[in-house]
Amino acid sequence: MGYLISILCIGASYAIATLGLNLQWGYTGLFNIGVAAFFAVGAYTSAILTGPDWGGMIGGFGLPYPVGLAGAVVFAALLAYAIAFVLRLEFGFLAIASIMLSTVVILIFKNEMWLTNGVWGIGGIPRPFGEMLSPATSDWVYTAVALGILVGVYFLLEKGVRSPWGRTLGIIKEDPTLAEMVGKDVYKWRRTSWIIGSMYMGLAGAVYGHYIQYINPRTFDDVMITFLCLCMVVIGGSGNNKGSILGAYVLWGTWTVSEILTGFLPEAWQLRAPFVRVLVIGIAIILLLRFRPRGLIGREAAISKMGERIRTGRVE
Amino acid sequence: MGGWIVSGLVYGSIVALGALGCSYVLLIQRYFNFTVAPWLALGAYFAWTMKQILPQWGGVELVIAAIVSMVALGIAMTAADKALFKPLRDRGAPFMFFYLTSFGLLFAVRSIIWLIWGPQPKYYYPGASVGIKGPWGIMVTPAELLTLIVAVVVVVALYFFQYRTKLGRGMLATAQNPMLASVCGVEPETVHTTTTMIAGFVTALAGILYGLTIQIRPLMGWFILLGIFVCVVCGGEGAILGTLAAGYLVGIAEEFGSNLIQIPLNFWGVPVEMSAYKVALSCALFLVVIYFRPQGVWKGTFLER
Amino acid sequence: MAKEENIILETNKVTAGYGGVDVLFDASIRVKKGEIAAIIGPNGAGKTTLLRTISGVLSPRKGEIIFKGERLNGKTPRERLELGIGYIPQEDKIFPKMSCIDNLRMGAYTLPKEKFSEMLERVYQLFPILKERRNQIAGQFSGGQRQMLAIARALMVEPDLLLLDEPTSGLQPSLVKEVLDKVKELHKQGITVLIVAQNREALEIAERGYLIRAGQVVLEDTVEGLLKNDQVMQLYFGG
Repeated sequence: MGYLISILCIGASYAIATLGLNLQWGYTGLFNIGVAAFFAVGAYTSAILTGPDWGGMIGGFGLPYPVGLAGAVVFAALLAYAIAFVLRLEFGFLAIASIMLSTVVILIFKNEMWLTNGVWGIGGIPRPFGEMLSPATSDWVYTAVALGILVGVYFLLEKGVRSPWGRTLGIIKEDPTLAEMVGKDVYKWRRTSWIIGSMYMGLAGAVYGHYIQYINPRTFDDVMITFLCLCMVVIGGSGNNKGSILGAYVLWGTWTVSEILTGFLPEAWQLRAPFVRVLVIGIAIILLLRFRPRGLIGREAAISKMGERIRTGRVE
Repeated sequence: MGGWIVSGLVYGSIVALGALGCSYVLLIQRYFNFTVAPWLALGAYFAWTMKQILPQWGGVELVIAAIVSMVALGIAMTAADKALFKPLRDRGAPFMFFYLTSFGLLFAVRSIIWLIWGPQPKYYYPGASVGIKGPWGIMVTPAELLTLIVAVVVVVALYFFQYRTKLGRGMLATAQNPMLASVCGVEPETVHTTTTMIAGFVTALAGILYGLTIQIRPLMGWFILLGIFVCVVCGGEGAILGTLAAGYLVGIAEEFGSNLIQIPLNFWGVPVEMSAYKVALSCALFLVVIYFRPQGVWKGTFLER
Repeated sequence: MAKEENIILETNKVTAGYGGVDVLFDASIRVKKGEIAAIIGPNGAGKTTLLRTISGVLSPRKGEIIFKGERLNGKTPRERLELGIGYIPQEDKIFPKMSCIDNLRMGAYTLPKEKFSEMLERVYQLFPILKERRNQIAGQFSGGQRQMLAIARALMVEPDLLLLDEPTSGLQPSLVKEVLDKVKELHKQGITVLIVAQNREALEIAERGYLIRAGQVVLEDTVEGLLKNDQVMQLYFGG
């Protein structure tokens, strides 16, 4: 039963992050592999703002939950703004820059004791209504909160992409030259999408942090979060918000269930299990891309124009 | 000080070798091959296993293991390219698919490494290395010296291949104008195969040298992946000499940069350990370069090649 | 399927396009051995597309192409090159970062090493300016020089059929004459030429011509006939 809560709640936070990634990638064509950076910044910011005094590091603000969330979102946005200039350049540079960002941010979190307590992490992150409820009830309540947030941001996003704003974004993604000719500042549009997407990821991190109530740099390390989010977008089909949520839950559900199942395996196998899981996911993604790029319910994968052909020596 | 230079150059040599593979793939296939990180580790591990099997011949067994590993990695990368990326090429998939597949493959290969070899670090020659005293009293280990020499030799060999052989020129032509190259008689798939084979050779070599001078561990490729990308961008895509020079630049920037910045930090009592942030210096270099000279630092100079 | 001795190239109802959209429909043309044939028509009519299907760089969706009696469908550009087809595209006709002589080397990619110097000399005789500037970077060449280089590159392997896509577009009138004179010279040496033309002078060096409009071959005539056709002249060559 506890697992159900965990799946619902953590799934929700991944879903929020995936929505953000989907905005950046599915709707705007930006490849972000630094999801973990924004996720981590969101989690830590919210924790620091709402948490008690841990001694030896900044904190002790004890601000209410919504302020924590707001802080998470703001800082994530700032971080996104800082490297936004890379959006002007070739597509691949963003991928690299985002992963560099992720690495450096995690590095800072690992090393700067005064900021994050380093590798020891911070525990006892409070929940809204936390003191008033028993742990079990608190879990339920918080899951409801998380789901509420998920639903809220989902509708916000849906409204956004169906509006003229979303349509312009679509044109910019499919045919930037056309968009420029009509007078749209492609860079500014991409930047907006980039920042909003990052804000979602920051929010997701905060939601996550308050659920598990203990975070350290290792939680966000190793690209796993980024990879999972990417997979979730692919599974759900890029450019499809419902798909992102579906993909998030499908993947996270599978992940957790496989964790439960491997718990029954003998000791020797248990150590290897996580890697087998990653292997399977990796292969699944490759196969999915190869045979069903649309994902489970996504739209048709865009065929790029002639000019972007990878070297085949032919014109098709 | 001298120690910094040597460390920087050695590290830079390894980064450059890894970068050459990436640079080729970028030039011909037009995407940054993230998978090079676990491939590099795979090359190192494979050579290690080979070495364990072969009888001790005073160092020769490592050379044989290295060669076998290089060929094996070349084949592996080529097979992966044909099976996974060629279909994407043929149907004209957008770039994102290449990056994603590369990423998926990264995790697949990485988990395979973990499953087979486990997380404990491994060494080709356990035990501390004896340093040799070089000019100006700088200490180098034999492994470091080997790394420096190998990098230069490989770069020179690749340079000759690229500019003096028919196939090499055909590859350059394909990079500049694929349609015209095919009309001249260059077979596109041959070019791709050569690209991935070469990438396999140099990547395995990078992994082995890394394992020799530092250690072999599952995430070794990931640690230097960022340095590799910085090197590729600084060197300019497809620039062979430029990539080596860029590798040195990255290596020295990290070594020198971190040590130099540490001095004023210590002086002012700022409790920041720069050695942990070496990679951040590479990242800073990257951002500066892509802002001012995205075509490569050496564009317009002879190092362009 | 015509097996007449003197038809060197034949396309039968070739339909081709890009990204699922066809731009050429049922194009059927014939080129006689040793002649200069022209393809004229408005921009975007499908002329370049036709040439691309012949050179092998684009696969037609329907129809077949026969060269020297052999069916070309499915053959790679290299195979067609070896059969004797030389293709000079309208855009991207040289390797801009390579020197002039390296461009020619690429032209000789399929040539045995021994023959290289011989062919190089021949090409230099035809285009002395290329010898003068052999070490210059091709990207720095002027429009006229690029065109010469592009043709020279194709000549390195002695093609039997030369596919020229708008060789004189963007050139000054004096250069237009120079390029076309060279083409006439090559023709005298026995090379068959299929030229896509946008101007009257290019049409005038040909013997027969095809008019393509909106992807379809709408007219076939001798060049005299075309030149006398006021409608054609008005529409496509401004009179």
